[in-house]
Amino acid sequence: MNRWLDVALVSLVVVASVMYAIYALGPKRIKNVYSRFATRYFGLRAARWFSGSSDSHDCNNCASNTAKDKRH
Amino acid sequence: MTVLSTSLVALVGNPNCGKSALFNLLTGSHQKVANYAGVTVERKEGTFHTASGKLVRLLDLPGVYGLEAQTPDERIMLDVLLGKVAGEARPDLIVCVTDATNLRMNLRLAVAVRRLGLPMILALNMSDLAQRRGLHIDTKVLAHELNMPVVETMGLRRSGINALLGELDRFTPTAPSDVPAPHLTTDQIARDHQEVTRLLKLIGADRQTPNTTTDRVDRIVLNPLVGPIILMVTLFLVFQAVFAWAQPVMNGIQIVVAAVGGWLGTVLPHGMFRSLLVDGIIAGVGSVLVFLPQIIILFAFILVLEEVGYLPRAAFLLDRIMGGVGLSGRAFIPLLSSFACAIPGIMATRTIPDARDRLTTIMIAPLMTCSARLPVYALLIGAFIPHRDVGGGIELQGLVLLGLYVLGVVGAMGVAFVMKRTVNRRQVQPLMMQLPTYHLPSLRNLAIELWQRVEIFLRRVGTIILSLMIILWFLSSFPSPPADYAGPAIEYSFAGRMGAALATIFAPIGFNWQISIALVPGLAAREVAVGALGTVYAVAANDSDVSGTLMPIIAHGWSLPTALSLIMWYVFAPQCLSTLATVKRETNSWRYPIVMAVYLFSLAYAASFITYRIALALS
Repeated sequence: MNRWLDVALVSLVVVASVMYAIYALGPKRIKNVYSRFATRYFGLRAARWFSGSSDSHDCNNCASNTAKDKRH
Repeated sequence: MTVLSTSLVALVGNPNCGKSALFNLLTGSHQKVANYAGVTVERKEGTFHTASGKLVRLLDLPGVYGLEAQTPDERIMLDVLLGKVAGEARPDLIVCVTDATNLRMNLRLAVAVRRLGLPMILALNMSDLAQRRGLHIDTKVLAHELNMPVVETMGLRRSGINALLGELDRFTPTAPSDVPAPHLTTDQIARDHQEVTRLLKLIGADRQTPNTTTDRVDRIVLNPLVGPIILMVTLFLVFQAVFAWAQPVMNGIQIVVAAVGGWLGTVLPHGMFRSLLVDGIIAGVGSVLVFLPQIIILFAFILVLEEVGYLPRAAFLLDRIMGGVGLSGRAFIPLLSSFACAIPGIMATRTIPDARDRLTTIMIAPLMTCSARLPVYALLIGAFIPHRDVGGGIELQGLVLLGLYVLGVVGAMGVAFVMKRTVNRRQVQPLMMQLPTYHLPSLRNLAIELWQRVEIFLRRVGTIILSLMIILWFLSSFPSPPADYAGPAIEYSFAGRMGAALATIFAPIGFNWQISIALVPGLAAREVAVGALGTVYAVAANDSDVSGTLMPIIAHGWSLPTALSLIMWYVFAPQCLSTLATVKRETNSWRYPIVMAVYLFSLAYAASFITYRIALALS
C-alpha cells in the first residue's frame, strides 16, 4: 500500500476513535459541544444522533436549542 | 375543542400487573428506551398503528402502587400525568392496567388516577387467569361505575389485546384541561379504599379466590427450609448452563473471528492499516464478542425467572438474611438488576423510599457480579481451571463461576454490615410486596427483552470498545523502536512504558505489565480489559490469530497466583467509570462516587494482595 495512503487511513481512524471516546466517556458539556457542532454543520439528523439515548428527547430539551442557534 | 392528530397514551399500573408485557405486545420492536430529563427514571416509548391506521405513541410509565409521590418513580409518573415534565407533552389518554386476579390492590390506583381528569381506559389484564379461578367480573357494571371503557386483556397473547385496540381506535384525542396536583390525605386514601370495596361488591369480585396452583407451589417454594435450597439449586443450574451450553457457539465465534483476521492478513498489503485492522480491531473486539453466548444464556435465565414470577419470591426468601446485615428487602431487586449491570441496579434503588437504605444499596451494588465481569471470569476460568466433571455431571468451571458470584454477594453483605454498624444505625424498613401469580412466560416477550440486552452489549462492542481498542493499538504500536532495539517492540511503545510504570504499583499483587496496561482502558468498562489483552498480545506477538488463542497464551504466560489475584481484583475493583458517573448523578454529589472508588479499590488491592501471597506460599 502507498505509504501516504496507509498513514492517512490510520490517522483518520485513530483520530475518529479518540474523538468518539472523548464524546462517549466525557462529561455532559462535551456532549453538548458535539451536539451544537453537529447541528451547525450536519443538520438536525446528526444532532439527534449525537444527543444519544438519555436526557434529551425533543427540541425543547436539546443542547442545540439555544438562543444563539435558532436554526435548530 | 382541539382535535389532535396523534394520540399519546400512557400505560399506568401496579408493579407485576403485566403492564410491560402489554407494552411489548402493542409496540413490538418499535421501542425507544431512555431517561426522563434530569432524572434517571427510565422512559420507555413505543409506537404502533391501530386497525384504522391511527398512529399511537405509547408511554410505559413506572409501576407504582399509588400517587403518594414518595419515590422518584411515583413522582415522575405523577408529573407526566399532570404534564409537568419538561419537554414531555401531557398524555391524551391513560390506559390503567390492572391484574384481574388482584383487583382489591389494583383498583385503588385506578380510582386515584381517575381524579386526574384525563380520559381513561381500564384494562383488566390476566382476565383469562381470573376466569380460570372462577372470578367472573361484570365489566359493564364496572365501566358504568367508573365512567370509562373497561376491556379484558391477556398480555401474553396477541388476540388478548383486540378489545383494547378497538377502544384506542374509537378514542378521539382532545386537548386536556389543567388539573391541580392531587393532595392526598389519610381521609382520601380511606375513601378510596371504601370506593374499591363498594366496586368489588358490585361487580362480584369481593370474595377471595384461592389459587390452588400458585398457593400449592408457594407452599414449597416459600418454605423456610426448602425455599432457600430451591433458590440455591436454581442459581447453581443457571451458572452451570452458562458454561456448558455456550461453549460450542463460543468455539464457532472464535473460528469465525480467527478466519476473518487470517483472511484480512493475507488480502491486505503489509503496513500500518493492516496491523490496525488485524491486531487492533479484529483481535481486540473479537476477544470480547466471543462471550456473547454466555451473556445471552445468563440473561435468558434471569428473564424467564422474572416472567414466571419467581424473582419476587426470591426477594421474599432473602429478606431475613438481608435484614440481618442492615439491608432493606426492597434492595433485592436493585441488587439483582446489578447482576446484569450496576447502572440499572443503582437506578432501580429509586424504589427505596428511605434515603440511607438507598445509599447503602447504591454503595454495594457494584459488588454484584455484573455481566461485564463475565468475559474476564470466563477467560481466566477457561485458562486456569481444568474442564472436568467433579461428579454428578457438575462442571468444575461452572462451580468456580458460581463461587465468584457468591463471593461478590458475601463481599456486599460484609460492606452493608459494616455500614449498618457505623453510618446507617437504624431499624430496617419492613418489606411489603405483592407476589404475582405464576404464569408461563411469553416467548415473544422474552425475545424482545433479550434482544434489548443483546443490542446494548453489541452497541458497546461496536462503539466504545471498538474505539478504545483502536486507541490502545495506536499506543501499543507507536513510537516504533530504533533498528538496534533488542527487546520486543511493544515495550518501546507508549503503552509499554505506561505498563512498566504501572507494573511498579501492581507488582506486589502479581500483575505483569500486560495486565497493568489492560487495566487502564478497562476502567471504561470491565470487559474492555479482555479486548485490551487481546490487542496487547497480538501486537507483541505480531500474530493475527491471538483473538482465538488468548486463553492458551495467558495459561502458559501467567502463573496461577497471578490469575487468582486478577480474579480477586475484578471481584471488588470499580473498573467502570459509567457506574461512578451514575452514582454521582443519583446522589447529586461527588462525595459518594469518590468514597465508593476509594473503598472498592482498597478492598480490591487488599484482596488481590492476600490471595497472591497465599497462592505463592502454597505453590
